[in-house]
Amino acid sequence: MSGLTREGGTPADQATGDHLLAVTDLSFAYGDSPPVLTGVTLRLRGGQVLGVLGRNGAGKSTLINAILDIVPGRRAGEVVLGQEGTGGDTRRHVGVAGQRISLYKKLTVAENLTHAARLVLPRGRVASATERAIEDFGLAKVARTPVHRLSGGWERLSHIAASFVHAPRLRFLDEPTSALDFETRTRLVALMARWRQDGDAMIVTSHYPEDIEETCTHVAVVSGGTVVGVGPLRDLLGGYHSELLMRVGGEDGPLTLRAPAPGTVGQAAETLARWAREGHAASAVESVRLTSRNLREIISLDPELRGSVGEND
Amino acid sequence: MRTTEGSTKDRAGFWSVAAGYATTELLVLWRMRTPLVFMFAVPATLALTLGSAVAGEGSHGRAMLGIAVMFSFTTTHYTGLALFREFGSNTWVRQALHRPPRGAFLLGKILPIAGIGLTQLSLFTAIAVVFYGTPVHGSVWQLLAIAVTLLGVSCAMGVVLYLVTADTSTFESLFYIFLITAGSVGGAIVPDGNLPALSRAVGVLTPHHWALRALDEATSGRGEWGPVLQSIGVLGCCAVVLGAVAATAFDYRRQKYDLY
Repeated sequence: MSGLTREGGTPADQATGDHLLAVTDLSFAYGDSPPVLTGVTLRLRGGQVLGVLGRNGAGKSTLINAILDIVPGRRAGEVVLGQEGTGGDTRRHVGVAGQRISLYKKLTVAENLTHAARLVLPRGRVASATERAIEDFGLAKVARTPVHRLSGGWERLSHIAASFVHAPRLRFLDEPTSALDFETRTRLVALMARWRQDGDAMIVTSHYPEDIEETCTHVAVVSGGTVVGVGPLRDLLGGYHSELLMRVGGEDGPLTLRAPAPGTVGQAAETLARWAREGHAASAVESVRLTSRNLREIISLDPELRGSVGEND
Repeated sequence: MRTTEGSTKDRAGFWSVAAGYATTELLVLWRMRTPLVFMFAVPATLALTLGSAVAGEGSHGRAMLGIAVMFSFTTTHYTGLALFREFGSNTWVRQALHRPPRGAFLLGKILPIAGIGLTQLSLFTAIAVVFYGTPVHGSVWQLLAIAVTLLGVSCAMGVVLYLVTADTSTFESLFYIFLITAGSVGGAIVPDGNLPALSRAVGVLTPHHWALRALDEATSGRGEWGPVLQSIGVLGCCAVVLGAVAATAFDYRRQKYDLY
């Protein structure tokens, strides 16, 4: 996992205490069973989106449950929620949209949103929060439809809307795009981009690398109940290139030099230097192109990541 | 383990949370319809068809009251189901995350069910008085006090039964055993005086016995507060103990399974 380290965030992130989420050496076990999660350290500040990758059963959902302390069990370590200017009750500033739909089937979408808002917000802000969620998620068409009559996609979108109706600053999304059609997924991805721009922090698990690549600024790889690598997404993507192409001019016509899988940018630079030593003069270079691999390709190449896409866990 | 959290400013108030749950619960109960059938149609049918055959000659009104008391314990059932519903709809996650005041949550869940139970008891008592000539030698306040404490016991019992069971199937099995057994030996179907000695002895342990003892005093008895208060005291103690257990042991995070 080139570009990732075992502990979360950048060195600068580690140095300051101003995070929306700070997890230090978190461990979790169900009852007296051996720990299913050990030694997890993560930092997340506003505007950062952490994509969690891992095989089925690696502990991605358990990680979210343990951070939020929403299932009984033995926890050890330290979790600090919402210390970045949220003030007041920090759980009020956290929202979680789990894999399973959390809605009352007999209620309409609007009634579910209202109920979810009343759990968290002062009474005077419930109606406006509900209306805003309906507008943001494009739910006007189904607002008065009972949940049991919704299609899978509308149901999931309503579920995410209800989970975040209180506009939290720290959002957890577990497989958010499951069952969404292209249009609805695009809407959700756009919403996530807006939340990020607004300074919210998010943790996203997904079996779709495209989701992670489009929405996340950082990635964490969970394996065997611990985070085995975490860091900026660009570092991970920068560590895997499919091809280095250099086109040089010459007396005998243009020449294309090709280096498959050149590795990191540094390794690519070494290849360029070697080509120069081999007599391809820098002055004759017409173009240099380094082709990045996408996350799906990287996952298929990395034994640690392989298996983290596909089925739900 | 340390989780740092802030103060409780800028969040939903106790009564707002309770009202939120109560509204949702009322809507769900209304749209389910079956609670209304079990709380009104079934006891009405039983009271009309069995009537004085079980309560004794000329005691159709007493049969109506007994069956009403027996089926007022369907509030135990619906209280438990209201709590299991959070797992059926997976909405427990939000409770576990936001941790609204437990009192507000339980109050919101229970109040609509207790309200329907009170309506049922009032309606059946009114039918017994108006159509079957059951006298009211006591006062309406006595009847109201009996109904409120009875429903307090019943709903608190629903929470406790929920706490000690892991899924709806086990919960309902235990509930039906209680409904029929306690209703039988507690004098709800056949009045105490007509029950075998063993049933009478065991029946003293049921809330039905004390509720009907107070109701008998307030209706066909002398209508004095003393015996009524004695029964209400027993019921009240049960409600307080069960309520304390419920409030103390309740945990949003404890996993349950709604199998329906």
